[in-house]
Amino acid sequence: MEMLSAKNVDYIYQSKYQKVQALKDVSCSFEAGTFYAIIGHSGSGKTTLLSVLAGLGTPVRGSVYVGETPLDEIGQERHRRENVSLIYQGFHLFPTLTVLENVMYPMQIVKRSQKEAAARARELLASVGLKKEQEKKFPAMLSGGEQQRVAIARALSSSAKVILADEPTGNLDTENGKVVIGLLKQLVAEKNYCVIVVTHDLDIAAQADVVYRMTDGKLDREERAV
Amino acid sequence: MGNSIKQLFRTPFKLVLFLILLAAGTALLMVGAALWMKSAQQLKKMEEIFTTIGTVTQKETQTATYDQWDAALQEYVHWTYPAYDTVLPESVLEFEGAEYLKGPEKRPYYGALLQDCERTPINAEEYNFYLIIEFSPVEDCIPTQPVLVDIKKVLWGDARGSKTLWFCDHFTENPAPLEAGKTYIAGLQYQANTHPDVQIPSGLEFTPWLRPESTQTDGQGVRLDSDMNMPDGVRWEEVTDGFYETARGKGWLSLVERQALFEDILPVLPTESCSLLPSFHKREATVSAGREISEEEFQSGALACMVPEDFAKHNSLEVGDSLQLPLFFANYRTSPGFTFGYNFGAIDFSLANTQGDVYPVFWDAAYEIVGIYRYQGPNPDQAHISELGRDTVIIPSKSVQASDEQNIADFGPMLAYTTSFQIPNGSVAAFDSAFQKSGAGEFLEISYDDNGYEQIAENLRQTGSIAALLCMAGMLSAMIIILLLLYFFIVKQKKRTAIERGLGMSRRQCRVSLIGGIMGLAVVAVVLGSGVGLLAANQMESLGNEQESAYSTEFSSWVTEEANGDLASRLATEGAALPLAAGISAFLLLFTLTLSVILVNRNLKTEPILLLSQREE
Repeated sequence: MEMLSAKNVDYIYQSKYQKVQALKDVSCSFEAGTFYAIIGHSGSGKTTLLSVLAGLGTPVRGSVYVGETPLDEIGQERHRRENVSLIYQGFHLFPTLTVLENVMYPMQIVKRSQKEAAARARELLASVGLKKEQEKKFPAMLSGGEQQRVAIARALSSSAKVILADEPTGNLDTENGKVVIGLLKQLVAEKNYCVIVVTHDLDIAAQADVVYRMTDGKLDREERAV
Repeated sequence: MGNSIKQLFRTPFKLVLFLILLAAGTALLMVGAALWMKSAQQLKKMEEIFTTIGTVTQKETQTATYDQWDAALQEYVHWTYPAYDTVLPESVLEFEGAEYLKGPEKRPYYGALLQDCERTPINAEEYNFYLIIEFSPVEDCIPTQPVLVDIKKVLWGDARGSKTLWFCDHFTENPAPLEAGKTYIAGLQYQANTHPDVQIPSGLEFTPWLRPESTQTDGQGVRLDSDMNMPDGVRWEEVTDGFYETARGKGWLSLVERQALFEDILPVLPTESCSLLPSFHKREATVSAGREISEEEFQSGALACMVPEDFAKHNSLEVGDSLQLPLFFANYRTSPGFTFGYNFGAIDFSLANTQGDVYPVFWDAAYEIVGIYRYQGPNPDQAHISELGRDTVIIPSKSVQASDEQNIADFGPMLAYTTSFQIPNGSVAAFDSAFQKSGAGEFLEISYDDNGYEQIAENLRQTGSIAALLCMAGMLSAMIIILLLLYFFIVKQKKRTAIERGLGMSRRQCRVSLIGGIMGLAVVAVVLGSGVGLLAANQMESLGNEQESAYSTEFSSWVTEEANGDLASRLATEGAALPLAAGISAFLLLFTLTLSVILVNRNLKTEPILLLSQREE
């Protein structure tokens, strides 16, 4: 089932001094229960594509669709709240909130009760392998791998079934990187999530069901994982 | 917003630092603003309380000498007196650059015939030292020395039962002889006997002084001739058969009538404003019941009057009562204080017109008593230079709608107690400069009295300047602290906004999330600072109010402690008002909110992906 797609998308970064076309006529589609990898050189437009798919940027041409519905109709904010979750290379946890509070945050945005949010957050933290005593710690007190697990738990706390991960293992050692990818793959396999990972790491790409290659703003689907 | 506040509290050092700094800046601003407001209020109040007047005196052209024979010394005594070539009109005060609030006015005073009222008694025990009598010498004599005469008839005055008195034509070098058996008439004043060769049991001699005459002048002050006037040097004359049928005899009877009338005269002082009267200006005279005649009443010439407390008590008059004032003469030379003093009275003009008749009433109206005033002066030594005398009734000048030109009993130059004007506070230097430039200073002398306004106002202006500096420093520091606060809690939180947006927060939610915490902190700091500032300002104000009597007595020329106490209480301001604190708080919070919205909006304009991805593509 096609969950998310982009059709003929152009995207231009426009600053005061220059204009850069980051995406050129990009079309792609993503289905539930599939693990995707987007690979390419630095500056090729991978992260831009991810942000456009997340509704963080608006294409100058073409559209992003959720199922059959164009993103314009859904609205970008609602799309990010309900349809997609983001995981970053730099984790981007709130440093002054505890682990538990970080995971509860998306649920508080959609006004879930405190009690319900706390229970769900604990459940998610346990599911990514974090111990109970780590709930009250601040992110800086955790290792990188643990922080990324918290970020995954936070991504899972919303109702979204598409996870957009931008270099999720970029700041992790090999061991922790494997754990994180393992967790993401588990979500695809067991919970029918659609996971799209932007990565330089060919090992991760090799584990993907589908690989897209981005070259100078153009996207090509590779038939097999590299 | 809960998360936003929670995140603020997780950085307690920054939180407390900004809280203290912002509260301190606000308190400084509050104190400065309160002091500034106070000094502005006091300056405004001073404008209402203080007046600046000038009193005008025409300079004498020369000092004239008057030689008067002294029978006791057997020589002439030389007296000097100011002489004027001409009596200048008050229009000479209308020179270029002269800006008056009121006046200039040269006040006459009117005499009103008492109607159903009594004068209050004079303080002096022996006031009546004039007598008009018919007398006959015990023997033929020339009255160059006191001679014993029999009192034939007391026409006016109180001889205290005496049948004789010692008569001396003290001020005439060669008086006519007196013949025993003949009757003479004279208007006498008594004085201590100074003749070394004559022993008088009572120690008093009686000298002829009063005589029939008219001092009437025209509107320009020129003395009018009268057939009734006696030749120079003649002060008494023989009463022959049919004497009282002659013009001179009628003149003497008229004098008797007029002297008797003096005790039934109520002095009436017309003015454009009470503030033009030096006694009111100096607070020697203050309203004790009712009110002053209002500006409107002065302007419209309403039939309103103010009476002195003693007179009101003596005649059981109250505010709202009516007082009939039939005015029959005008005196443009002196003041009621000169003729009708509290301790003294000098009758130096005649109530007769050139025909020898008592002046006819020229204006008669019933005035409503709107106020009763208490007069705490004058100093007995200065009684003659006060514009207020015993029982002086004050009325608006414009209420007298009939001309007094045919009833001018005396006329003289402008004097400090008859001529004054009011100018704007603080304009003495400019006015005086224009006055000197006009050349009028050659023949006029002006004394200014602002009751210490210039010095007090200068002090207040200095306080105001310091307060303004304090206020600006407070404002500047509060704004800088707010800018720093916003820099750390908004500008530096761009990434947080981006994360929140990535999590699906709407722009509105992002604004509320960031601004909520900041505003919470700002509200607490600003309210705390305003409160502390308000308390400090009130504390300083109450200390200031306690000390204000010091500058009042130091600088104010208001003569009485009561008046100075009144000044202090009238200048005292109310405590720094809550609205000011509320205004300052609202301003700072609005400033914080506006700037926060602008900065958060700038944060929201940045593409989140640029902030969240470590590389920019």
